[in-house]
Amino acid sequence: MSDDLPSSYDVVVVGTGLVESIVAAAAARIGKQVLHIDKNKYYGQHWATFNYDDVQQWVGDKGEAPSPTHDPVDNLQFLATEESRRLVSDISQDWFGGVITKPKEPPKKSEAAAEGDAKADSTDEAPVTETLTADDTKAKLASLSRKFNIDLAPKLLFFKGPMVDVLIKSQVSRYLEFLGVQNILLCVNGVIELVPCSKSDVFSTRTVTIVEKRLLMKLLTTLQSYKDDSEELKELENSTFEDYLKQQNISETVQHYILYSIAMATQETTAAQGIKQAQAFLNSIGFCGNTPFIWPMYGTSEILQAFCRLSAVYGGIYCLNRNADFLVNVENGPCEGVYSNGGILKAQNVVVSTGLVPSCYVNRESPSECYQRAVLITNKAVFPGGKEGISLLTYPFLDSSFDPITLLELNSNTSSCPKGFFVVHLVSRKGKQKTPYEDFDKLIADIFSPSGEGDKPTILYKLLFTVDIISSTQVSDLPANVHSCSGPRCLSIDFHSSLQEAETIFKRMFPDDEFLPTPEAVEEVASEE
Amino acid sequence: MSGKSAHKNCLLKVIILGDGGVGKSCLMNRFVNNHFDDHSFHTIGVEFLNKEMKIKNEMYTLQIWDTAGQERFKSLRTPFYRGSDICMLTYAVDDKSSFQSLGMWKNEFVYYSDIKDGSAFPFVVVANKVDISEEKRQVSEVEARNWCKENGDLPYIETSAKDAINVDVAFNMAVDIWSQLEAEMDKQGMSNDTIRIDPNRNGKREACCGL
Repeated sequence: MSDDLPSSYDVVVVGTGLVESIVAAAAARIGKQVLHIDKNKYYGQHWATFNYDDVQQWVGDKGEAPSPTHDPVDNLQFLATEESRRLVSDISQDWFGGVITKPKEPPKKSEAAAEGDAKADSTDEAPVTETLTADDTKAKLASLSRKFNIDLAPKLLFFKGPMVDVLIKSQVSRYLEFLGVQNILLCVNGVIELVPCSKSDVFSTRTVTIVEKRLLMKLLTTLQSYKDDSEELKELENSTFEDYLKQQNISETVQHYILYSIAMATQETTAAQGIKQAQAFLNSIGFCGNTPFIWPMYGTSEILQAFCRLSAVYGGIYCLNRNADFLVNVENGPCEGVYSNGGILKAQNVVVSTGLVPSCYVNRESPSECYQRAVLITNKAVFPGGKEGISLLTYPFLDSSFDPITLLELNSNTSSCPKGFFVVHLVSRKGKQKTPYEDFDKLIADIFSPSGEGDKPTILYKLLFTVDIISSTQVSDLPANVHSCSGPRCLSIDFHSSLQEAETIFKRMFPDDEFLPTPEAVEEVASEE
Repeated sequence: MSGKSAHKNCLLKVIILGDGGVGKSCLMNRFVNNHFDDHSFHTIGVEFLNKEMKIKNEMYTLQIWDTAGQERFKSLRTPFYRGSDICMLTYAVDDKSSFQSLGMWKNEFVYYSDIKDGSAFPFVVVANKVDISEEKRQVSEVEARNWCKENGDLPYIETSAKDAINVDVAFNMAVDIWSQLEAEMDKQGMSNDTIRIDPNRNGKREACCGL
């Protein structure tokens, strides 16, 4: 090979999405020779985390490179991998004026530490504000570019969920840091309320009457008591969760708390599914503050990069900035490998992002998960009455005109943005809108204000895009040794489906091996810190 | 595991950067295990090696991270760089192009490691493989020292992992500079309430001394 890569592998992984990265780690971990490549110079594809400049590049990248062609050689077919950009549409961005609170210059440590300097901290109490025009905002964001970590696919982890289990078991957790989500919010009729999630929350909340508190407590206990695959739960498969809650003798407000915030369900969710979702939420409560969620510091991409690091530590070879132009197939037979940089890299197994799978294998007619995204940069928290930190807000449409919108607000503690700013992510299912982002407009009108009236936050920057992921279920007839990996399913808040998909692919390739076992202690590694 | 004598034990993350073949793993192995293997490549399953050292009555644990080969195709990104306390920029004196890459590695480090600017960070420039014969040498000390001067007056040291020349000195020097700069360093994103998940799942991040 021109660039002295080995010419054959157990697994060649094309694309560095989360599923691909977990598979790469799992395969390398059991001693398989893995090559992991991505045509971008960053990790993550549709899972990437970008600074502000990177976002600008991503928006500008039309990805319209023509598919290469290659004539068959002997009995080999060359099937062009495709441009992943075909999954993203309706991109636009805008900048607005507003007032920002300037962060105080932190005193230099050397000065602060100096004797007799204690009063230095207490002098500047009044916050300094700065009024920006839209152009100022544009310049300001560009100048602060690297202080932003903006996720294309923001997601949270349930503290007792399967992703955390795998991170711990595999010790990938050692590369990661998390922050607890502080506030679970619900916005109904333009009013934002803090949702009581735990029993202690229920006890102290003021939005619920005493009688109702007792009913709510009882209901939370009941929800947690349903056993997986029990008859009781099966019987609930034919009714909606909304109807189930209506029968529970609780007020509408409390029904909404459970339906939209705790189960993160829609009006269409079945009762059985709603209960399972509520259980996932309730089972993770009480370990890291008052919510079940933790957020990966620096963004989602950090998690997949941590898996890549594990893969590399176990011998996986990493090449960013390198494409596999073709899947090379034996006619009617298995895939030989991939064609990259002018040569064939042989592989027993090829793992590839669905977004790169040649069109002839993709059925775009079958239902897929299509969602709208917005990234907002704002100047204030949406709920000033909450704890400082990350907030997760659900914005349902009670008349069912649209599916609920999920809003995730990140402050500077998350490293998503510099002090004085907030990054707000919106996700909603695409389907009921007549014009793109129609539902977002309603939320924005309710929660934000261009002039900051009523202490509402102002949007300084707005990026909109629509993602139509190709699910691996839409891919068929690939050679048996080619495994496709779905893109980010942003409509569910956690990583569960991606993790399951990765494990399924791993088990298909290596049915007898353990998925991401705990590394044996290596003597040089100190066991304590 | 750690000695009781130290009143505080500070964990420092050290990364050794440089082109493939300059001897990064060899330097690490010589320093930690006092062992040299000509063919030492990334050891499968090794994340980092720890070594305790005492400088001026302070105990330090240096946690030296292996690049795990990800530097080969320029595919190291944030998880490797983040939280580094010391960066050793390494080249081999018999390989001019590895010397010419130093600037690139320094830039990569500054870009991905989340430090505010490169000037106030403890870098050490390590010229490895000084055991080779004089005629094989492609980078002179004068040339290297000039580069160091132009790039923020970086400290420079010549080592041989093979012959165990100056390897300990290089790491000592790095910690020395770290402790001098530590007071002025301003790390981004260091927040004390981040959560580390461990088997007990309640581990709060422990702030390293001085931070």
